[in-house]
Amino acid sequence: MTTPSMLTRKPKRLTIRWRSIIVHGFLIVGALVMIYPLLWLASSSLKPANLIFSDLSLWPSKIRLQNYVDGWRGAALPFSSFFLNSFIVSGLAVVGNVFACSMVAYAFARLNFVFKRTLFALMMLTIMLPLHATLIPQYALFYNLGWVNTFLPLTVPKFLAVDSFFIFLMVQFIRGIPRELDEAAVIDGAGPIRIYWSVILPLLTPALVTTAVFSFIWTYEDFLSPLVYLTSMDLYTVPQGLSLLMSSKGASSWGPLLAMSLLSLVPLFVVFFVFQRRLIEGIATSGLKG
Amino acid sequence: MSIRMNRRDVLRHGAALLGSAALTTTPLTQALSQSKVRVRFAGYVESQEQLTQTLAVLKLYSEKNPGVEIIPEFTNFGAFTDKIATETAGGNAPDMFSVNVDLLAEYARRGVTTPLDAYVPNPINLADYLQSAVNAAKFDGKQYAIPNDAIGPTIITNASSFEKAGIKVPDQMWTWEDLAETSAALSKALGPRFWGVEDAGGNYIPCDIFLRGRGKSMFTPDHKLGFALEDMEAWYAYWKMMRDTKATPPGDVQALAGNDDPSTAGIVAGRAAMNITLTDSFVGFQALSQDNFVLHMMPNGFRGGEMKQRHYCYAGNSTTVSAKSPNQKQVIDIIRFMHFDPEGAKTYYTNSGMIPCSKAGRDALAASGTDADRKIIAYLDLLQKDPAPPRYPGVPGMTGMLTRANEGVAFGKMTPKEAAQQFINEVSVRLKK
Amino acid sequence: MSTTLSGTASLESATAPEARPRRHKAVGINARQNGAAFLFLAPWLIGLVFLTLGPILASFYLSLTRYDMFTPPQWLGLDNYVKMFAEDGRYYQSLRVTFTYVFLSVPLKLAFALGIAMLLNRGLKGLGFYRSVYYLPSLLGGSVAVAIMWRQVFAYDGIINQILLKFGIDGPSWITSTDYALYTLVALAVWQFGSPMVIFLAGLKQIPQDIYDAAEVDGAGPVRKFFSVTLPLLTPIIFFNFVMQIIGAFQAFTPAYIISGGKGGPADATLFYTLYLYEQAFTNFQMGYASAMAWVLVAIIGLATTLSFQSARYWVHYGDER
Repeated sequence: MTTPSMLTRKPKRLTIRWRSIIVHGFLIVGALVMIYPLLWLASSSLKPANLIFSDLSLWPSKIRLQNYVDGWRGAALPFSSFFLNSFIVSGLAVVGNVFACSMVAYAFARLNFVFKRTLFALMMLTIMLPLHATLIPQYALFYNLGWVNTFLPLTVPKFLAVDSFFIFLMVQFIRGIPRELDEAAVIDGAGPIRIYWSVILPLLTPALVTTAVFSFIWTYEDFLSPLVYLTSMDLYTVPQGLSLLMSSKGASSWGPLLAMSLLSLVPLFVVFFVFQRRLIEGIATSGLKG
Repeated sequence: MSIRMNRRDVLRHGAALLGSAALTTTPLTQALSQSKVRVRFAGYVESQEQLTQTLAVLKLYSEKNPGVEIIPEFTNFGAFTDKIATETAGGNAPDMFSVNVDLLAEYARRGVTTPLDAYVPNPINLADYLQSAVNAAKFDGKQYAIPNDAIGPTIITNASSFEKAGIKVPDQMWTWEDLAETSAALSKALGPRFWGVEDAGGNYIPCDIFLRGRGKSMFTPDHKLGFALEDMEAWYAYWKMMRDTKATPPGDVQALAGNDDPSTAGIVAGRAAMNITLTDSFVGFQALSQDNFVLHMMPNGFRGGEMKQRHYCYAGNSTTVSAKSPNQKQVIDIIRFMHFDPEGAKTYYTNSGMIPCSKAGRDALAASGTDADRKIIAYLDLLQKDPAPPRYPGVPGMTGMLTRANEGVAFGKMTPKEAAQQFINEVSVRLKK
Repeated sequence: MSTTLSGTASLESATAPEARPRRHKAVGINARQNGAAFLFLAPWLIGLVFLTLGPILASFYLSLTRYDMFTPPQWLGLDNYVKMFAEDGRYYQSLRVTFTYVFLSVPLKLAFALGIAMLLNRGLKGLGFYRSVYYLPSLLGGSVAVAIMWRQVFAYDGIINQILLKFGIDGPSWITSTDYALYTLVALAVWQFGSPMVIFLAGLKQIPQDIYDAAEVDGAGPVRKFFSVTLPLLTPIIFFNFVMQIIGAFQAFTPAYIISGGKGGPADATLFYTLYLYEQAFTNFQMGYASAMAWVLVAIIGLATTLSFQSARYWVHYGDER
């Protein structure tokens, strides 16, 4: 498309415009590949059951809005209940992870203490063990604590920084912050707590936002922990609500299942969209201006 | 002493530390119901209708028995098996839960569930129930579960495809050779990219019926293998022949169909005319297709051999009682209410999509139910005219083992004999444990 | 302390790492420092002692037993470990599948994530939209929708084959063919590159603009700025994503679980390590064996992580090192 003659005539401006068009073109094609499943999901969630898997076209030839009504109402409880529970659990997870993990990360990244390397290795070890191997001992533990069928097994661990992923993430980000800033604060008489709060945390905004977003999304999407720890249906989270629509034999649940699957993505998308703005703006207020 | 005890001691301290926090957020339902008998009922979702009616009958029971609170705990089948295993292992099994035949045997032989013979026939009278289903809910001769529904093996058949191909849907009594010829003819008429029957080489029930046609069976009543290497070799060779003659899809296309998932089944996607499965899949398959599906029997023997009705019925879903439940009497009364109380049974079964296991229940449904209900009941009645010996308890993971071996042949990595040997090795290991 | 100063310091440290000592030596940690550190570590230590360590140790104990989950475990010693390596052909298959997956998916996913993050880090119009759209596949996670959708693309009647059919080619069912199934799962992993991308973006945001300005004053063009500013200053984040992706890929469970219906088929072609572990635990009720498998996986991941950390001193440059 870029004819050389055009480029030679007005080299500078055209190159920039063409480059921008190429970049956008590339991004848009990519975006289509990324967004296709959502289009399929949206389209199928509107189809009657006998067209979902037998008619693969993206444009539904028959529309059945009842899928949304049936799905939302549910056989056991309405989806509003599942959404509410999910928001509580995910919201608490965000708070817990952001504070607890940043504290621990600060210690690992900036402070000296005994057994530092051993404890760091231990922290890494806790994410290496596959989930299914510790599930039963973990369940026995929470059961003996009397926590089963409460939100505690899903939220308390977050306040105790069990998500090593985020600790390690923030360690890496803190280590990217020049030490001169801490040292300047030390000269001003600041102790570790003040440095953590007024030097490190503000500079850590991109990592904190990332932690918040991922904590929300991953807790919201988690299936296994709510499955075993929340037994009565009025405590079920969204993925468990969806599992109630997955019937092994019946006739009527594919449309509602896909409708609710799509709806369940909306909060995630909103959270991501809102927070990713913070991700850009965050740095502007983070005070690297010396 | 098991580690559970040791761990518990350690944990008490942790509990003391954090216990106060736990109390404040304990759900209201628990706090309010201290004086009530609380019964946890765990089950898996077979259909929205079944879920709705089960919840309704449990609610009805609680209304009639204000001293009893039933806590229903439902999820989809795949998640259910993990959940129930985790809870049981953690010492927190629900009072009563649903099982299929495989789970039943696993849980019964490890003493997780309790025999219910003391409650049969009073208050639970199963005389009117399909005896093959009642027997299939036994382990070691004891009644470990009460069947909730009745299902039977079938070939779901796309009558529209037969019509399109100009081939008559065969008589119910037919041979494995007939199946092969009919399927090949369908593939020829409607192919390429269309096959007569989906590969059932990895499917437990048709394999058992095939073996019974050879005078053997998958398992014996005393929980041993009921066949020899050459029988299983014949089974895998049969499906290899089916693939070679294009009567069934090649390995990769077949693997797509998975096991009994209507969203992936070839018959729904319109690339196969027959799918060998169970009657409880019928409604789900039909709902996803615009064609007309009917129920057909599997082959009942081999050309020149003895032709005999070999399809056994059993329950897709039975209720079993936890051995550790302190509320066993209460649980039995709930089961009684669901099955035998006129109002309870009516609530539980009407519009539930389940075919009742009792003759009375099936007759009532035949009069009031949907078209699909009537088709299934008529088919099950057909099987009952000459009842076959029941299904014997096996080991879990049968589909996985059978499918792996079948796929080994389908992808050209094994001969039928090697596949048979692999299957026998794997299943023998599990039978020992 | 001016930003420019610290900025140049980081730039120097980034470009000439070998000129300085690499690590703050923990010279004379005193009680006060310990006190402060353990105050910050307190939540994690409490969690470790009361919630995490117990189950970890229990699973190690169980790996030395026969444990069917319902009856008390019986001591076996190392039998599970011996059996795994001496008798279990499927175990080796799960290793093959997992290593292939790790070697292919990790670099590809990281390359995509970094590339798109770089593209999106410019002052483009509609940035928020692109960022969100590119994260979409990762939002879908391991839901049913992903499984169904991936089949729509790679199955026998899928989009790819419909296109091929137009050219008269009858393509295989990619997603369920022993030859291609694993690669469709690699493609799925690459497609869900959103999480490392977001982390890269956050890392890029943390690089102070001043350093770029300083580099520009020195006459650096975009290419040199990338290699002498962006890349070195991003190495801690690249390292993080690398380590976490490796750990994640070794533990990959959900993609194979949802797409192969939990079986790892066809013919074990997608039998991921953790999928096999799960099958042993929850289908075969061999929790002892599954626990042993888990600990061998810990050893493998531990080795890979240790090697990564060893290598890090040669290529990861921290802003706090001088």
